[in-house]
Order: sequence, then C-alpha cells, then structure tokens
Amino acid sequence: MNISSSTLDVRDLNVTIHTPLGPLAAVRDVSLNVNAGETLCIVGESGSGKSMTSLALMGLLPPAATPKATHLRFGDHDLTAGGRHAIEKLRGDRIAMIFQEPMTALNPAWSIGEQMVEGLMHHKPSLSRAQATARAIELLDACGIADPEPRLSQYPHQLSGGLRQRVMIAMALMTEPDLLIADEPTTALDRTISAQILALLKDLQKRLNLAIILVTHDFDVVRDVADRICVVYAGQVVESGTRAQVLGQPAHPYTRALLSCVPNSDADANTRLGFLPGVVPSLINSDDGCQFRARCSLAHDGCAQPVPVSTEADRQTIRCTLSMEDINNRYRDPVPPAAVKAEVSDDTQAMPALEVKGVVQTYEVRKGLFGTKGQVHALRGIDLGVRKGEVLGLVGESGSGKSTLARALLGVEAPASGEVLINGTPISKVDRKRRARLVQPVFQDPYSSLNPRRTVEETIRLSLDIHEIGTPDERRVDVKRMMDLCGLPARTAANFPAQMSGGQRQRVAIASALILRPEILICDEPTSALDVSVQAQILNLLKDLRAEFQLTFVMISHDLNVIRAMSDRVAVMYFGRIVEAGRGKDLFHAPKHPYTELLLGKLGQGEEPRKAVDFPNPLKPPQGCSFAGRCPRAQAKCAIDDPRLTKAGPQSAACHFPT
Amino acid sequence: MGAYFVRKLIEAAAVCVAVSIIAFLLVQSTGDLAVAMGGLDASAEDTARLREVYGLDQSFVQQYLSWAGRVLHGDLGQSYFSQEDVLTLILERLPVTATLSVASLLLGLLISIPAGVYCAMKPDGWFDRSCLGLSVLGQAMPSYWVGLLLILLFGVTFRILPISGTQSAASYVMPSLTLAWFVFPVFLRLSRAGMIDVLSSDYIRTARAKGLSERTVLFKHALRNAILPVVSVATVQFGFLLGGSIVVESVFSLNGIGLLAWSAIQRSDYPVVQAVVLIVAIIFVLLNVVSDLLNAALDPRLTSEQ
Repeated sequence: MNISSSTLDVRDLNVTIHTPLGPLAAVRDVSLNVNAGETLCIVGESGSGKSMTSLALMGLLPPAATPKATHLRFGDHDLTAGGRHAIEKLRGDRIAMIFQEPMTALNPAWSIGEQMVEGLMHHKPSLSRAQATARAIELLDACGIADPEPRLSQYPHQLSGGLRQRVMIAMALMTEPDLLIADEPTTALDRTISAQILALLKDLQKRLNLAIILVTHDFDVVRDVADRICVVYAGQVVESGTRAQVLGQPAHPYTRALLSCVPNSDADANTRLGFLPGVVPSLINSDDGCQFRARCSLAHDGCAQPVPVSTEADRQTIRCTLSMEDINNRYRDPVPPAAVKAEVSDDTQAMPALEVKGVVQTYEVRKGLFGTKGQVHALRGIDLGVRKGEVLGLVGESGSGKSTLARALLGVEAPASGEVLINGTPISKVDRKRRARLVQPVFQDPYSSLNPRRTVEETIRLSLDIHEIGTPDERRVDVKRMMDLCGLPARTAANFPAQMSGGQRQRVAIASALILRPEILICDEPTSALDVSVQAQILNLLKDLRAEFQLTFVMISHDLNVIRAMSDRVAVMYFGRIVEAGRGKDLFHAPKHPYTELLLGKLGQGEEPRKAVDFPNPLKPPQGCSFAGRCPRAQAKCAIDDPRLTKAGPQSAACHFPT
Repeated sequence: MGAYFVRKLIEAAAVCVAVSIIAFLLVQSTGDLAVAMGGLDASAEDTARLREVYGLDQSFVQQYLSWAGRVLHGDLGQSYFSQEDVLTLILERLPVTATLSVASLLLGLLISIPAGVYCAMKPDGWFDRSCLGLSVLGQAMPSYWVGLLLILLFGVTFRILPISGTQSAASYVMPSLTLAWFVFPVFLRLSRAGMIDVLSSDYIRTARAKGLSERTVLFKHALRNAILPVVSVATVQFGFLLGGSIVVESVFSLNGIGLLAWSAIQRSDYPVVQAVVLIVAIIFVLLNVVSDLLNAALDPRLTSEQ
C-alpha cells in the first residue's frame, strides 16, 4: 500500500491553544493517514488531544486554537499551504463528521428533512430539492430507519437517541464524502444501540468504500471496528499499528498500562484491575520531552529530550526512548493484580442484608391541560436479595428502571407497592437518620453531586456533624483516616471540588458515603463519567474498601465490563423487571435470556436486530413478554404469556425459551 | 398546533376574568365611592342618592356582575369628571399610545437584535464592549431626562423636529427614540446572551461541519433558537410600553393612554382608572397569547405531541 493512495495523509500536526497562562500544546507532531475503506481509531483518555485532532482535520477548531502541519494531503489535494481555509472548502462535502451527543447535535428548530438536504443543496446547487429529498430518504433507509419518508417532517425531539444518531450518520453521508470522522459516535448510547450503530458504520463503509477516522476512549469499540489504531496521550501519538499489533502486543508503557486497566472478560469480583498511577500532566508551557515520563515505570533522564517516533517491525510505531525489545524485557505492571479478600456469607438461609419484595413503582403523567392521566410503569415487580458482604450488580439499558430501583433501595422514594427490607426491617419504618447510617449512595457525576462551596474536609465531615458523632477532634481524625483510605492526599483537605480531578471528586463522594460506616453502599454508575485508568483506580478502591469495611454493595451500571469486574451476583434489568439473575460467572459465561445474550454480544449470526427497533411503551406495558418485540427467538406464546423469573440452569431467567 | 392554540386561548380567558375582578376590587378598596364622588360639601342625603344612582348599595357580587355585564356590552361607564363615555375617551387616545409603542418597540428590536448577534460573534471585542457600555447608559439614564436632552438637541438647537404634539409622523420620532433607548438594553442583553449560548451548542457545530456558510449558520440555525427569550420579553415589554409610557407622554405632551390614566388618578375618576387598568391588562394577556404562538411557531418542541 503506497502513501499516495491515502484518503488523508497528515504529518506533524500541531494544535496550540493560546491561554492567559501560556500556550497549551493540545496536539503535537501527530502524523496519521487513512485509506479508503479503512477505519483508523484514535484512542485516548480525556486531555489526550483526540477530539482536537479531529476538529483540526475538519477546520472546526475554536478561534483561540492554531493548527499547523508540515504536510496535509487529502486525496489529490495538497492542502499544506492553504492552512485552515483549504480544509474548510472540503468540509461537509468530501469530509463529513458525526458527533458524540445525538441528543444535542441536531437543531431542535428545524425538521430532519430540512437539516438533511440543506448541506447537499449548499454543496451541489444544481440539485433540486426533490432530488436531495429522494437521496435523504434513500440514506435514512440505508441507515436502518424503517418507513423513512414521514420521518423527514419530524423534529429531533420526536426521535430516540439511537434514531437521532442514525439520522446524523445519514446526514453526514448526503454528499457521498470520502472521509467520515466520527467523534465518540456511540458513547452516549446504550450498549445494544451502540453495537447496531457500529455495525451500520461498518456496513456503510464496505458499500461506499469510506475512510473512517473514529475517535474514542472505549476499547470495546476499538476492538469491534478498528483496522488500525493510534494511541494518543497528552497530545502525542505514543503508539500506532494494526488492531492486532496494538491490542495483541502493545509496546509503549502507556498502552500496556491502559490496557491493563480495561476490565475484560477475565475480570471478576475477586481480582484487582490494572493500575496507572498519577494524572495527565498540564499541557500549558510543557516541554518537548515524553509527556508520559512522570507516570512511566521505565522513565530515565533521556526521556526529558524530544523523543523521535521509531518504526518497529510491520509498521508498528512507538514514541519512546527505548526500543520495543528493551521495553519487553524491562516492563512490569506497576502493581501486579492482587486478589481481593472479601467474605460473603455462604449461608443461603441467613437473612439477606438487603431484600426487595415485589416492588412496583409507577409515576403519574398527564398529557396537556385536559389530557388523560397515564401511568408510567417504571418498576413492574422486583424481587431481590443481597447477602451480607456481597456485591450485587444491576445491569440494564437506560429506561430499564435501574435508577428508580436505586432510589427505592435508598429509601428516598417509597414504592407504589411492595417493600424494601434492610436486615429484615422495612426501610419505610426506619427513620431518616438511622437509615443514613445503614445505606449510603455514590452517584454517577462527581462534578454535580458535590457542593461546590464546601471543601473536601467539610464535605466528608458533614454527616458526622449532622449525626453529632464524636468530638470535633475525633471527627477531624476520622475524616483524615477516611481520606487516607480513599486515596485522598491530606493536602487536598482544604480544596474545593473545582480544584480536584474527576477521579479525586469521586473519591470524596465515596469517603463521605462511608464516613458513617454504613452497611450497604448503593453505587449508581459510579465510574461512567471517568476515564478508563481513573475508572480502574476507583473500582480497585471500592474492592479494597469492601474488604476493609465488610460492605454490602449494589453496583448499578450500563457497562457489563464494570459489572463483571465488581459483582458476585448479577441481575439483568429490562423494562422494569429482572429478566435474568445469577452468579456473575454463570451469567456471563452462559447467559440464558436472549436480552443478556444481546447485551453480551453473544447472539448468533443473523440473530442481531439490524433495524432500529421500537421499545415497549412504558405507559402501556405489553401483555406478553416485554422483550418479544426485539427478540430473535420470539414465538406466538411470547406475545400473549408474560414469562416469570424461573430456574434456568444455575441461574434464573424470565424467558419461555431460555438458551 | 390547533389544540395548543385553543388551550392558550382558554387560559387567557381565565386570566382576563381574574384581571377584571382585580380591577374591580382595586377601585372598591379605595374607600366609600359615594363619599369620594360627592366631595367634601355633599350632605348625607346627597351621598345616599349617589349610592342609589350608581348602585353602590348593592352587594359586592351584584355590583361586580352588573359591571361585568355592562363591560361585555362595551359599556365601560362614564367619566365622573367629564361625563364622557369612557370607551370613547380611551379609543380616542389608544392610537397615539399604540403608534408610539409599536414604533419604539420596532426601533429597539431592529437595533438591538443585529447588535446582539454581532456582539455574540466576538464577545469582549470592541463592538461588544461599546454596546454593553451603551446598554448600561440606557438603563442608568431615566427616560424623562433622555427625552429632555433630545428636545434640547433636535428641537431647540437644530430645530429639525417638533417638540410636542401629534400633528405629524415627525412628532413621534423623539418619543419613540426615547422609549427605544429604554428597551434597547434588555433586548441587547437577551439576544447577545442567547446567541453566545446557542453558538457554543452542539447543533451549531453540526451545521458548521456541514460546510454551510457562516451567514446560514448564524441566521438560520442560531438566531431562530436564540431569539425565543427575546420574543417572550418583547411582548411583555410592549405591554409595559402601552401602559407605562406616562412619563414620555407628558414630556412630549402626547395625548395618550398614559396621560389619560395619570389625570384620571389625580381626579379620582374611578370609571376611567378602572377601564384603563382593565383594557391594558387584557391587551397584556392577548400579547402573551401572541408571544406563546410566536414561540410555538419558532420552536416545534412546544406544540408537538411526543
């Protein structure tokens, strides 16, 4: 494959942002090329410059940012001399882009059809509106949207997230671009929808011979779609190569450490994840040396000098002062994965620490001033038991009722019927203060769940003050100890949340949840807002604290890998019900319910739903199985008879035809 | 859209009824009307007769109902002071105030929206700074003073504009400028903040990624979303201009609603006060309906069933 066949070839791209504190080198010396029909994944954590790179390629950088490249070629166009304006001519025509947030990326005030045709008509003024509309219909159909014509007159708010992302893709393809840049295209979507969107992208790529640059932090996505991979860290490409090379035999110390942090199919509740110490350095006024050296176990004096990119066998490149062979000989994981000791009572007859009995939750909604009242069925009969010291993982897509259940478990919202018991006592009978000492929450977004006007120490101490536990001195000592246990340096005590990183904030949230020594911790998506390496740190911390305090956990997540890495037992939720429950190893190894199989990507070839599907309406739950509409194995019985959770192998599943 | 319109109208009607009760109550709460009407020299019999003639001896509910019934037939009563028909009084003056309000509102919007858009394109640039400075001045300078300054400049020094009256269109120039100067800061800030907000949104990035021209991005994609709060506030401001231009009307001696209300209050001419309050309030409510409909036309999320 020679270089001139590349759709895009960039060498030494630099993006500098001018800040009041000095120049911020967001992207430095990034070289990449992508060919027609090929997918290049740019993978990295936040602050790695991956989004800046893609915005630079689109000419969409913010005004304060200056891009520069020694070589920039797109197909037959040499754009090196033209700078930022040269690429603007191709934008939206030859190069198209899709973004992360389908919920906000479409203009709420214009119809889908108008937004689809306007770009094409701008670039090809000779086309009539009818021709452009015909193409829009054709592309919506190609993007798996059933009955596309009436969709054109709909507005974005009338479509679900998955449908909007399909519309975004169709819109990007209107001008038949040569290159599609996708910036985290599935990050905001559920696992099953994300799989459909990625499959769609691959399918379209094959048909249209598209070159795709996909920017992501998610190694599941990379594994699914990448032909070649660039790993970026602090604005530099630290390693690049084919998918097999980078994922199979990673060379650079950063790639290795990062991959060890990703929870994979080997992870379980009893082992720790990998560990990447430290944080991403400030990129303002940074030097020209290796940016990773402060966190690297192999760093030496030479790393402060500019590091050239070295090409190893088969075009795998690394940016490191050491050769791949040297690294292979000397690299050790910073901390070897250690076993976690946790005691779960084996006595199945013992009273569960937390028990849920037939919990139903409904919300009243009213449509319009004179509209009829309706009921949203959020939870439709949940039965659960969590033993002392056990971690129960709750997994499901958005709208499955996970967070509603969490609120019921915390006792902050009484269910419409059924009850939640803590150590055999109904939670509704426990007064607020006592409840707070039994069960505590950790929420998803540490950016909004901490009071910005309270220091770290005040935040953690607050519960002790409210419950008037100990003398002020004792409280201070206890807060210090808890900060230490949660990996918060003592010097951060006087910091405000705004001065802390996301991972540190989540540590503060955990410390303040644990300060009352609750028996049960309800973690609702505790790591969804964090980077992979930070996620590993937080999950390891939770594993350690579990052993330290004999905690009983409920872990709620949409991320199966997180659930797998944390949970002893797992319950899969769908549409307000538990559809499968059992020990983690059984359930992940041999799922029984087709929905679990779908989540795990274990449905057989041809069974995967290709078209966008309609979810059941929470205002009118179906008479039969709620999953029947999406189920490849559904039969006549499923539409009439609602299956109950029954024994299926070592676990239980709510399915008439378990695997 | 139809159902939405009907719902808004019903809501508006309910508000109008409530407003009429309040307007009625306001006047009742000022004390014994018969005593006030009779004046200091009235004898007890005179007062009793007045009470009987004007139905003031009836129960409160009866009084309200008969008043509301007359209002619905277009009978707003007679001025105590001039014995003229109140509706005629108001209708004579309404065009003056309406012309002034519409002119100043349009002038304010025509200047402030493009200025706000341009400010938002380069926040903290020299143009943005100047506009914000002007808007601080606009809020700090009372309108009677601005009016007097304009009179001094264009009426006295240059002698190019009439300083009072309503003889020609030129008479409206200075009053409209004065009121536009007063509404300019609000509209400028709203459209500027709205545009800054919208321009950083994801869908604007999408529009740019499509390679659309900057003008299309600004005026088709951004302004339509950014203008929503301006529309809401503009209609309310219009209501204020109708009822609240008293100061400007007296500075420029315009015989409008504001001046009518002002003199009626001074003379305790209750039927006129009551009618002005009621009519301005109803116009206000109708303007809100207009604002809702305009917003619904601009933002499809408001009306569609989802």
